[in-house]
Amino acid sequence: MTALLSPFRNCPPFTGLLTVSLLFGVIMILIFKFTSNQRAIGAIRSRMGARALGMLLHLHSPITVIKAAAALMADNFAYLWRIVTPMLFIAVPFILTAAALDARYGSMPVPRGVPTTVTLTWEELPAREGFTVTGTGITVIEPVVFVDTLRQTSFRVRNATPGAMVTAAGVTFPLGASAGGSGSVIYRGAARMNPVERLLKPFLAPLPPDGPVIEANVFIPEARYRILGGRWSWLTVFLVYSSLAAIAGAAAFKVKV
Amino acid sequence: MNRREFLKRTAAASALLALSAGCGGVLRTRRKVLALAFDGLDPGLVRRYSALGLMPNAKRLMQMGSLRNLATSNPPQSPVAWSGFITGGGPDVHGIFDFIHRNPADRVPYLSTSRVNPPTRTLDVGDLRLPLSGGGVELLRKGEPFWKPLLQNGIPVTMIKLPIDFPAPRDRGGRFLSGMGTPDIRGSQGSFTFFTDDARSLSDDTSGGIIVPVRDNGDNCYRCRVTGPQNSLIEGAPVMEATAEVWADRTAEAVRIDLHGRSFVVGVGQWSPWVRFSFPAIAGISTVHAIGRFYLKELSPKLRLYLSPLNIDPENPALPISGPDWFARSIAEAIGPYYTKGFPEDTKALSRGIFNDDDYFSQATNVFDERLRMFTHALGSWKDGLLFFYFSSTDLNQHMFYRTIDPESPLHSSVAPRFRNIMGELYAKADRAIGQAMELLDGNTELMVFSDHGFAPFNRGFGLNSWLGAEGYAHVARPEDRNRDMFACIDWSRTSAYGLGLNSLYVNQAGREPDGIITTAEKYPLLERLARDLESVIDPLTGRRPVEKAYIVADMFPGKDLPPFAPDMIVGYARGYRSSWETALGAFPEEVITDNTDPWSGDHCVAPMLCPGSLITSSPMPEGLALQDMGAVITRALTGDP
Repeated sequence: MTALLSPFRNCPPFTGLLTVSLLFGVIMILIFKFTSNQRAIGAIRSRMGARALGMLLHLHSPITVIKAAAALMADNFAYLWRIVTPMLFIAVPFILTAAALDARYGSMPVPRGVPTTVTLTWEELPAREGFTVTGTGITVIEPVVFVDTLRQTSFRVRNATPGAMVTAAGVTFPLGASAGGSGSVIYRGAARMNPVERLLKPFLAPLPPDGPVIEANVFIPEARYRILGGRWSWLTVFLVYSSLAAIAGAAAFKVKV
Repeated sequence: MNRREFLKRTAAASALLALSAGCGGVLRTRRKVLALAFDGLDPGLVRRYSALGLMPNAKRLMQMGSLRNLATSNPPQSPVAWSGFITGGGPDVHGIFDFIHRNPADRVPYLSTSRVNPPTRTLDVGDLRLPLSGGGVELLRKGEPFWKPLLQNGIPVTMIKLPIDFPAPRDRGGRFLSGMGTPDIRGSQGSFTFFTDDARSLSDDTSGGIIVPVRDNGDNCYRCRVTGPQNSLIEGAPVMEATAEVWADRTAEAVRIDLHGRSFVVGVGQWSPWVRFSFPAIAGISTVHAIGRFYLKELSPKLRLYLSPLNIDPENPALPISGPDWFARSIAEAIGPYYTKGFPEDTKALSRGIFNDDDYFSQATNVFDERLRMFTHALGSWKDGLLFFYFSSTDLNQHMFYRTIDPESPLHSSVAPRFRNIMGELYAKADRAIGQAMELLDGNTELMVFSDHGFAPFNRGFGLNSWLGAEGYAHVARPEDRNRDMFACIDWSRTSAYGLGLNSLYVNQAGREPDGIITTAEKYPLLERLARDLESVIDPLTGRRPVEKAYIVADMFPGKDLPPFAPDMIVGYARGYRSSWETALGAFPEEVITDNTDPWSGDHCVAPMLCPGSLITSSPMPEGLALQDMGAVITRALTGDP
């Protein structure tokens, strides 16, 4: 995904999000075309159209309308069955793409100037004496608050630069943007994760499974994109533009959906 | 050009503009006016601090144009004065006579500038009360604003933090952000919350805020219930609440505040960033959003945690604070969340001892710095027409710190050394904003820096009601209730006049007030006698007259049909005096004139000629202008009339 977005490094994030959404829509409609039985789908759709027309033409005959409606329902189930396979092919790239886009376009970078709080949850709360938090490319603000009851420590950070790292009691994890420019991952924390979780939560940096920290959380404001006077989440932008691209792709590549 | 000719031409320019708008014409202009309003900027102090080198930009500006005293309104209260600026008229035109008006039918006071009207029809579903029609917030200021003809002629107008402008106008082509008069989310003019486990801090006093007792149940966690607005969508309008968990770390001298899934670390003596509060009115459908800032005053041995009044969230405003709606949000996107309530400096917290001078100063500095960021943003996005920008800090900080420059203040000797020069620093900071504005000066841009009034010391409080009682104008029937508000001790059948608000005196008029005893024929002679008596009062301690002049309102507006809520007399106090705190709310304490020991040590509710405002302009202006002329002066500068 990063390579895909590299041409947009210096563009606003919206440009990258828009490009990926449009590409995704077109690619998904092509996947749909090549993984589905287009002839069968075309036939079902024709039949469904005929049934609907039949109902309109025989409104004076309730029996005929009921029969046509029942047949239409059966055709609907047949249609759904026909699109199960292509949807399964689409689901995996959709989930992975959505996760990647969420990690890249779902959040703002750690705000400059305004402190934001990082909370670490520990397997066992470390001793206060000798406990240090340092940052590389990020400003760490004392004091560190120890919450014994919850086995947590909290501190503030601000002014993160791309690639910023935080080290607390020897545990290091990235925070904020992984790199500069559009499309870089913005880490909202860190967690112990298995490989599947890593794929689904790319906005979290991995922590060692046997390390002392269970998870690190930081609240980073959600990114919003201004379109037509409104402010929209990345998911809305993605769904709208990928759908528009898919509709256009279906017309261009003669895909029966 | 003398003042008379200047005003004639100004009026002619305004009339031409109105005519042009009426004929459907559109006047295009490339001229720009930057109107920079500093509430309470005193011309005497401007001269003093300019001479001392603390205001180099103001000095440069007055050398380019002029510095003039700007006549203020009567009474010289900000709502009255700014309403005059907006409409070009006096209280007879805009209907604002005081901060507080009273309903003559029951003498209950209310805020003079705006009110919330309940819906006229609702759909009741179970406990739900869904509004169908009517309701909303109403601006009580009357009269036509000076910017309407400008907008009708295609001249862009941006008014940021304009006082007495809530709810914000929706005039097409204009951009408005409400200032003074904008309430907090609870509907008050600013109500802080103070959480503490120190029983000694608890009190029944609710002025300016509430003190909430909390306790640690042994897990170092205080569960602090934050009171939000009333839920008008539910029967009985219960108060909505949010709970903040405050985790105390007494070793680190800091707390972590958890609220709505977010956490904030705050050390002792530190402020949190803006924290967002959500109060669901109907779960999943309607939520009221607010913002506030925590200040950890102390953690050991006792928790003392201050929460600012909850401001309307500019990104999700629950009430109409801007016109168009997106304007408040666009500012928040540029500079972050900001104080939206009309009086952002929490003077009540200092007056009640929740803050000390250091705490208050840090809060006031936050406000001023935030407003300067907003100003920088406004300058950067201003392209054409009129930009009006308002600063409250000069007013409220002078109220609280006038004692630092006034040796006669009862609190002068107790001012800490670090605050001795605070007034000079305040004016110097205002001067930096003037310098920033001057960078935009070109041949087509006019800069006008002005204020609604000046300032005077407030060392002695004049108990107008107590004096009325002592002189037989009011009869105290229950002496034990003298200190209770709202005339609790008064026998109305033997009372001919009463005071309410900061400068207002009312006759207990038959047919207007309940149990009124003064007939219409008796009213004017009574007012004449009251004026004579008030002006002859002598303060036994100082030998000075507390009342400079008592104005009979009927004489101020001859032939005008004034509304029933208008006062009958405006008491213009002498410098050093003001109505006592008790008088403002209708109490009758025994002593008539007392020392003012409140940190609120400067004021402007004196006779108007004693506290004119300032007018510093990049072009020379004639002497004798008044604040209510400024709308027409701005119009003339924009239209380019010679």
